[in-house]
Amino acid sequence: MASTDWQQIEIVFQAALDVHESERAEWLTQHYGHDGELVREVESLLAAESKSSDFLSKSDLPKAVSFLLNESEASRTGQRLGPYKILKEIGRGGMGTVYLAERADEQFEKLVAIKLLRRGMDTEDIVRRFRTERQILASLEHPHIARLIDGGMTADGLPYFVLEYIEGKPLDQYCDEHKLPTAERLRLFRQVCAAVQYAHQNLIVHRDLKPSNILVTATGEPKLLDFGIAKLLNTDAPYTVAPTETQSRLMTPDYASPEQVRGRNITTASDVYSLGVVLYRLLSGHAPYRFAQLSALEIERLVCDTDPDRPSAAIHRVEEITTKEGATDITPESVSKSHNEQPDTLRRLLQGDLDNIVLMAMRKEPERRYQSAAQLADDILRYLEGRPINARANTFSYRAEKFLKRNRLGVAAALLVLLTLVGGMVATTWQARVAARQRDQARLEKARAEQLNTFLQTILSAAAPVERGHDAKVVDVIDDAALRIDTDFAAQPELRAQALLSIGNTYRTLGLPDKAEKMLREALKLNLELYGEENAATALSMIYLSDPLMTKRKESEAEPFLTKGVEIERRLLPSRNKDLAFGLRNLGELYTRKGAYEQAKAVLQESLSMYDEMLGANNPDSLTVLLFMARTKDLSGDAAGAEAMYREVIAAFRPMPKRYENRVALTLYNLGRLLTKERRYDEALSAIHEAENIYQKSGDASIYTFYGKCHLTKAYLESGNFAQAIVEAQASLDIGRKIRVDDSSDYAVQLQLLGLAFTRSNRAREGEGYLRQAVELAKTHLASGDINTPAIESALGECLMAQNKLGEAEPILIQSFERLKAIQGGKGLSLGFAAKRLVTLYEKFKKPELAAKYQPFLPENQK
Amino acid sequence: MDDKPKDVTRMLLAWSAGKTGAEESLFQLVYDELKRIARQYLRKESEGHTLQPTALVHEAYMRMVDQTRVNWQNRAQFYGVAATMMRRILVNHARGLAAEKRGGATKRLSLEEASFSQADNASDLLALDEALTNLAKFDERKSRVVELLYFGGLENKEAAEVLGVSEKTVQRDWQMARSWLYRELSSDTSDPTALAGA
Repeated sequence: MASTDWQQIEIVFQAALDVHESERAEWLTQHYGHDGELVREVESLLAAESKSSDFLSKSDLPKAVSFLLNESEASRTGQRLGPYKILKEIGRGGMGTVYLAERADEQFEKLVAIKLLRRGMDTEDIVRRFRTERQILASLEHPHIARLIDGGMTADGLPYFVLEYIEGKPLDQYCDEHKLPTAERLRLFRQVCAAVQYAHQNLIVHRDLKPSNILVTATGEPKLLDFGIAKLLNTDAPYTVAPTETQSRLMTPDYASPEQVRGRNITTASDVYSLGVVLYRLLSGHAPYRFAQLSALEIERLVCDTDPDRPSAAIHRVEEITTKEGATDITPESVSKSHNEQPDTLRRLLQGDLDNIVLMAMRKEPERRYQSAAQLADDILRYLEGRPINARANTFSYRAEKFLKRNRLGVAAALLVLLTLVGGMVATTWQARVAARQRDQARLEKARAEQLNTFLQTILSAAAPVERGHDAKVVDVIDDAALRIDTDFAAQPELRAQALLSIGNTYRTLGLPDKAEKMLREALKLNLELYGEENAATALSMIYLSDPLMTKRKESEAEPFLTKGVEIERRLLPSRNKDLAFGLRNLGELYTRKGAYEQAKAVLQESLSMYDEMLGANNPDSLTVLLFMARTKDLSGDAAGAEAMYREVIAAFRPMPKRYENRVALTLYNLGRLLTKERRYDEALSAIHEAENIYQKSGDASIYTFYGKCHLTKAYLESGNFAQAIVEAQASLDIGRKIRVDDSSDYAVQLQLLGLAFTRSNRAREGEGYLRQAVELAKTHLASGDINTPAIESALGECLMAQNKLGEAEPILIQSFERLKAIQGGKGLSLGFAAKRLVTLYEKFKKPELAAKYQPFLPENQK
Repeated sequence: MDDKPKDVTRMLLAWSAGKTGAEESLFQLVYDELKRIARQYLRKESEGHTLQPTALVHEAYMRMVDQTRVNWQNRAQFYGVAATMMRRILVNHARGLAAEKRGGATKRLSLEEASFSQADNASDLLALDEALTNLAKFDERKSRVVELLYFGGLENKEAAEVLGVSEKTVQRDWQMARSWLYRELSSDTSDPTALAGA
């Protein structure tokens, strides 16, 4: 030990662990053969390592704890509590332990359950409350409610409740184990509702309804446990917890209503909500919300502000749950199997009425739920008997009403018009169907509907805050509209196609490429079926569809749609065509990205002249084309020309109305990226910051604020300000998660930059995880020939090298270098970086001959 | 309840501020509280149900520390203290046992002690303790990692929080420290360097 440096031993030891066991000896000799003592030391540690897997594997903590107890105490079993003798423990929960007991005086040979509270609760208070309420609780006599018999205090001061002993299974478990079909579940659930209704009539609110409090006996009778106990234990806000504390919550919030989660007034309506959640679970197999790992604040937000999936949609989830037996997956198959159904049949069964019934019980506002448990039961009965139910879907107009309350007047007014319009359209459609026999009449209606639909499209686009940045609330409204398409236009495929196109386009302008893609693909499919290829609607669907694909960097998928769409448009309407101009503009960008700069210039020029001719020079659309032209210059290496053009576009947009601010910002981003490349970091940062400020004015995190952070990360990283690069990268990842682009190649690149920033600020160990994540993401999202994947892998190599995990770094660095070489040919920036890393590595290994091999590939200024 | 939580908070804060003497008083307080809670736990437990030792430490924390004033770092430190204390408890017991053996005392052992009364076990533990103390001399953190994981029963993640390092670092430290300890403890009687020289 004395002569060898412990730190060096550690470095070599860790590096050797990364090498395959069979090759370690050779690896050690090869790299460290000159230092015999070091090699011996590492070898003996490695030998110990291979034998020590069981060593110290089990913590000694239990033993230490048992020493802490210098006196042992008798357990409760066999003890007497009042007239009851404890037989065994039967359960344990947040509140305490439940025992099976019998009356010891043998007067009544009756088994009871005794719930013994945990120490630490405010016992005096509980017992006092218990005394005042026990009369009422004991008066609850209902075949489906377990009676509260008695209560008291143990000799050592713990309060307990004596309850009717019920032998049964929790409701959800019972249903699944017996593979009860949906109708059976509903009948059972109605009995539960009746019991709750009875208690409500006696002015007792349960407050903690959940399947584990609803047992079903062997004879199939449901029995509700713990009525009123939640209230006894917690006078105020049983579910509120300190925002920082997620572990010690006494009760599960899974079934808690928004008012409970918020610590507001709890009423019978709260029980109706919990019943709704229970029914949700019984029908769909899933909980409406997933709370694992969430803070109290996040849970509150979820319960109070977010609508759950419809049960019929929830059955399609695949969710891992952890039970006592271990982790299992809930899948559509497993859920339907326990209903004795096929997934599709089950979905159809739930869709519509049952969805509506569940969601009505679970409305956020107590006054909009069923007025009582009995009404809920009645509606279920109506469903079972095939009569029309009372529950209505949480209607579009209702959602929009809420939306109107929250939003500024302008959008509100636009949406109001939209609502009337949708209403009108539905009526029209329905009338059209009635009159369907009259062909010309139907045609007339169709023409009218189409006209209206065009109007709808305008309004949706106006409401879409393209020019204001991303607004999640508007998205909600559009989501609703999207959901309505299928049902509202089921019998009118033409209208459906148009609505799909319109909403898809709205998603596109909202910066939601996934949703846009889905809608537009459907629109395209439908338009092809209806009209074939030679059609403007088909062509437009193709052009629009290519846009989200390009946003998602799927250029190869976008290209055929875009070229085809442009080709059709060109044939149908060769000039003065906005859709064609738009298509050409995107085609120009596509060519730019592919590196086909000449082709890009040609189509962009064509697009520009078209816009100029239609709209006059310097109109916003033309200016946007100029921005794309500047990008072509930029990427083709004409930095000076590009910079001048970016600045021209910015200057032209600046005096325009405020809604064009975003175009200024977008151009500033491009300028910032160019300046970073030019190593003019101060100018770059100020451009990006200005753009970011513009986007941030619209408040919410959006794809644009995300890109802002991306550009900033890059500028700071390359200017050597690693600390700030870390801050910006982390901010970008936060936004990325929020707007759900955390499963994309852009996100991978950001992870990489964060990892690199850590690595270069001597925190390589922290960086490694991010880089590994980046590699995985890049592999899933990038084409095999994409330069980013090996570039990210090479960055991982740098990080490993910084941690002296040289053995692991070496193959990664070599492989990524070779791949980059294959993609970039003999030169390129990423290739240069990769070469630099290998040179450094072999210098560390003291292998100059290997380092020399990579010298020729170094960036020009580093040779 | 009494004003104990405030005390712990104050001591944790004093300790993290590096005040001398804070550690010893903190230890005593935590020790007493753990003992008290353990007894209560046992009182509530039914037969056949084993005490969850980590739960005990968690509960001690919950009950003792006035959370509004203590940030996560103090919480982490608390677990650090608890782990060190568990080590002391075990070592003290092992020492007591070893002394008893030497003194030939015939005091009847309690059930817990009986399970531990294989002298090998006790001497193993003392050897481990000694080796760990040696390790701390040139790599304090690795020694702490072993203490937290082995004596404190913490998960890697929790230990990482206590030490303010990444989970990966804890895992690597643990792997290396365990290898080193294994070698040290298995070479007690046969010095590997001596063998190599032969």
